This record gives sequence, C-alpha cells and structure tokens, in this order.
Amino acid sequence: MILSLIVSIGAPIALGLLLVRMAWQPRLAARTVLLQLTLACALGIGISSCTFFLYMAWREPQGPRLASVEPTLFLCIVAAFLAFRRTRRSLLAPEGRDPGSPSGFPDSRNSIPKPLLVGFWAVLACAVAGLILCSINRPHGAMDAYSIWNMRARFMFRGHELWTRIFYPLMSHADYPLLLPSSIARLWTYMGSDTQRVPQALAALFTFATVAALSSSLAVLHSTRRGVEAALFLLATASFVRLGGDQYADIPLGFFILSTVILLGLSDSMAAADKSRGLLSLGGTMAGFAAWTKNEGILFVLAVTVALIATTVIRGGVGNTARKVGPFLIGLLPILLVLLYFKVRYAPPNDVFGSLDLGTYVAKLRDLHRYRVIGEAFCKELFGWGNGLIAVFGLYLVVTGISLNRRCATTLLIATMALALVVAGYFFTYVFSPHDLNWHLTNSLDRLLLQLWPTFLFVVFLAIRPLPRLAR
Amino acid sequence: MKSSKLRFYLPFLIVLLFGLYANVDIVKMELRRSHRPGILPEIAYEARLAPLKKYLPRDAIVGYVTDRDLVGQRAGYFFLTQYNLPPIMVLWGKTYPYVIGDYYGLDNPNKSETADLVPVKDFGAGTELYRGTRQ
Repeated sequence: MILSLIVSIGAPIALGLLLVRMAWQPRLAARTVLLQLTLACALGIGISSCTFFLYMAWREPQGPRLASVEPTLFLCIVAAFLAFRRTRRSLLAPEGRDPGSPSGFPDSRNSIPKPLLVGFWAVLACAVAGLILCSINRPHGAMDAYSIWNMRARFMFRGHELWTRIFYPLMSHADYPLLLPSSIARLWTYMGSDTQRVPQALAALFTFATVAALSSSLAVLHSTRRGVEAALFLLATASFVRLGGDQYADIPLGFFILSTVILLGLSDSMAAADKSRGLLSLGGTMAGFAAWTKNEGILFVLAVTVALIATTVIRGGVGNTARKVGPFLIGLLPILLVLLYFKVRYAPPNDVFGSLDLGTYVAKLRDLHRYRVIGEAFCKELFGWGNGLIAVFGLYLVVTGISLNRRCATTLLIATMALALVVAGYFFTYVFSPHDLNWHLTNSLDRLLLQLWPTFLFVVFLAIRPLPRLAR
Repeated sequence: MKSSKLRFYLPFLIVLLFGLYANVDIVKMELRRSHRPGILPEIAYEARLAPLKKYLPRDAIVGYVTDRDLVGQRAGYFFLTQYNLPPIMVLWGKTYPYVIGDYYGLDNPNKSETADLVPVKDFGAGTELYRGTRQ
C-alpha cells in the first residue's frame, strides 16, 4: 500500500521535476524552487493522466498491471526527452552559457514588511480552512464534480471493460477530455479503493498550486512583493476558493493556462535563445494539458498558438517564428495526439457545436438580440466580479500605476492577445449555443471567466510599475 | 516622506483587508452549513441505492423517473443516482429493460409517471425498480 502510494504520487512528480529541471536550471532560491515544484506536480499529474488513459484504452483483460506498465512508460518519456535534447544540442551547438535565471526588474523590491507578511499568511490560512470546510460539507464536490468528473473516474475505476460507457452520447458532457477523471481513477487504482480523499486532494492541490505558481512566477519575473499581492487578489476571489473546494475542473484548467503563460514569460526573459527552447516546449505541454482538461482548453491552445505566431512575426520576422513556435509545438504535439486519439476513438459530438447545421449557425450569427444579451451578461459579470473585488482592483491600480515592463513585452503581448481571443471565442460559443441562452450564461459564464482570472492577474502584475523606494 | 510610505503600504493593505474579508466570509458560511442537521444528500443516496446496486447486474442499463417537480432538483437527484451506481448506467426515461422510480414524497408519492410499468421490487426509502417499456 505504502509502496504503491509512493509510486503513484512520487513517480510522476519526480518525472515532472526531472523534465522541469532539464528545461530550466535557475539559481536556487525559495521562489524558483516553489515554481519548479508547482510546475513539476502539474506536469506529473498531466503526464500520468495521459499514460493511464492509454493504459485503459489498450489494456487486455489479462494484461500486465498498471504498476508494471507505468514506470516503463515514464522511463521511455525520459529517454525520449534526453535523446531529443542531445540531438538538438549537436545540431544547434549553443554559442554560450546562459545565466539560467531571469533576474526580473533590476530595481525590484523584494522585501515585505513583517506585519504585511503575517497578514498574507492569515489570508492563506483562512483560504485553506475554507477549502477544507467545503470538502467536509461537500465531500463529493458540487454537482458538476459528481455529475461529470468524479462519476467518470468511478466508471474508469469500477467499470473494467465497461469504462467506455462514459462516452455514451446520452451521458452528461460525454465528449469532455479526461485529465481529471483519469488522474483520480489512476490514484484509486493504486490505492485499491475509490476514496473521496483523492479528488479532494487533487482539487486542493490545483487550487493552491495556482496561488503558488502565480506568486512565485511574479517573484521570479518581477518582485516578491508583487507576487504576494497578486496571490492575495486571487485568494480574495471568493469563487476561486469555493470552486476549488467544490472540485470543479475550471481550477485545474485555469492553472494550466497560467502555467503556459508563465513558461512563455520565463523563456522570454532568458538571454540565450537555446536555453529558452526547453521552457517553450514545456509551455506547449502545459497548453496541451489545458486542452486535455476541458474543451475550453482547446480554444486556449488555438488562441495561444495564433498569438505566439503573430507576436514572433511582428517582433522578430518570419525567420524567428520557427525558432520560437517550433519548440512550443513539439511540446504540445504528444498531448494533442492523445487528445486526438480520444476525440476520434471515443468522444461523441459536442453538445454545443455537434448539433447545429450551417443554416442555424448563420441565423444565430445574424441575431443581434443574442449579442445584446451576451454583452449585457459579460458586463454584469465583470462589474460584479468577486463581490466588489473589481472595484478594489481598480483602486489598487490607481494607487500603484501601470507601466510596461519592456523585458517581458513579448509575453505581455502574447498573453493579452491569447486572452482576448479566448474571451472572443467564449462570446461566440454563446452566440451559437443550442441551449437556452440565459440558462447557459447563468450556469457557466462566471466559471469561464474564472479560468482566465489567474492569467489576467499575472499579466497585469507583470505590467505594473515597480514599487517606489521607501524613504527612511 | 508620508506620501511614499502611503504608496508603499496602501496597495498591500487594500488587497489584504479585502482578502481577509472574502475568506473569513467563506469560512463563516461553510461553518454555518456544517451545523445544518440531517445527512448530506450525496451520503444518503449512497446508502439508499446500495441494495438496488446489489440487485442489478453490473452491466445493466436502467432508466430513471422521479416525482420531483423542480427542474434543478430533478437534474440534481438524477445525477446523484447516476453517480452512485457505476458501472451500472442510468439514463433519463422509461425505454430501458429496467426503470428506477425515485420518489420524494415518501408518504404520498406521485407515481403517475410509472403507472404503466410493472413493479419488480420496492427497496424502501422512495426507491422502486420497474420493468421498462423496452426489454
């Protein structure tokens, strides 16, 4: 039992850490260690969910057990990564050594007064308590958790040869990708029982990993102070902690979207182009995991790829595009292949786009009333965001002021473009929605925007002016 | 000097106070919820459906009808039933070999939807199994 737990949790994290360390070897500091660990955990969870899905898809009734198949697969991944790295090195012959760590603003203020730091820990403790209480009050999560994610995990764990029943078209959201169900079912398989502690722990991990990734990445790229403030804004978003405790997949999706942008930011801040390629590849892999978590992630993959291509063409010319976009696509490709296999082999048509014909699309596209209803809903959601948090955010920005950090200008451009494209995509998804429009908006818009909120915070805080020097 | 100190502390204080307020509010709300009497529907349904799960073959596909009126409640309890029975598959309607009748009004359940079906077994607590319209 203990050995299988170590294998089930430790092996993917070790694999993730190895891949992150291969791509990025910064100077050891609390912020870089925290960021690497956070990215490693998510990478490990993502990879192991893919391997578990493939194991379920290809296994024979009397075939080998997961515990004997998975370590072999992990070793193959490491070998493939090493071989790719060696081939690339011999082909490219790097010109010089990279310091390995972006330094952030040269005049960044990293110190936080002790009383303020105590305040931050108090907020974090309250958020942890809130999430634990959510898990006690709703051990199986809220409706989306038990009607989609946990139920699919139960089919994967309990179903044996019947696990493909989750793809029956009459089941709820049968076409949704499997990162979460697969991760939960994988851990249940190792533990031998479908305890609720597993989805609860995964939900808590993704919730606080998002906070950790946001704060530590800003601490690396900007300043610790801004990292902590951004984390406070995220924790102050009541729906973020609550949806985390309710085991919704929007939180892991938000994490993978944020991680993609963070990795693009880190690669942007690297002096030597050769060093940034590994980070770009990892960014592509994280974007792939976003698509492997929820269908909205597929829209993000398209948006971030378009934004990456457009930005590199604008800033570096066509010649530079292949050098930037290539590694990103190489990292993305394996996860997209798994997703493609899932979509082609198992997933039924999507409930929003699968049931419409061209005539209906055109009619909905020309219906101006739909635009007005959707526009109003977006405005209402934005102005009421976080029970007044948006007003606090506005006040905060007025006090601090915004100036563009030129060092990360490319990342800011890519991320802003990607976020704008995703929001536009969400808007038109509602335009084409076959469901009752008001019902669809009421039941999903807040969660869709919450997926983008951590990345939006990252972008804004990256652009914020460094603190003034405190007079003594 | 006062102004620079203000700019140093004020942004942090603004977000800190709001963060505390939002999270204490969640804790207070969840504490109130945890003191509510009664068993959680998820837990209650697990126990309620356990005998039915034992009775049905694991590869069964069963229909589902309920006497609950509200759309949100109907969906919620349907999903709870579906969630508690894997790998048995539960789908809306009566056109399946078996149909689960999930009744809310224990004293006087509204069984109009299953009036045309042949009862197979009453599991108590508002759960009944019927033969469906398709064998």
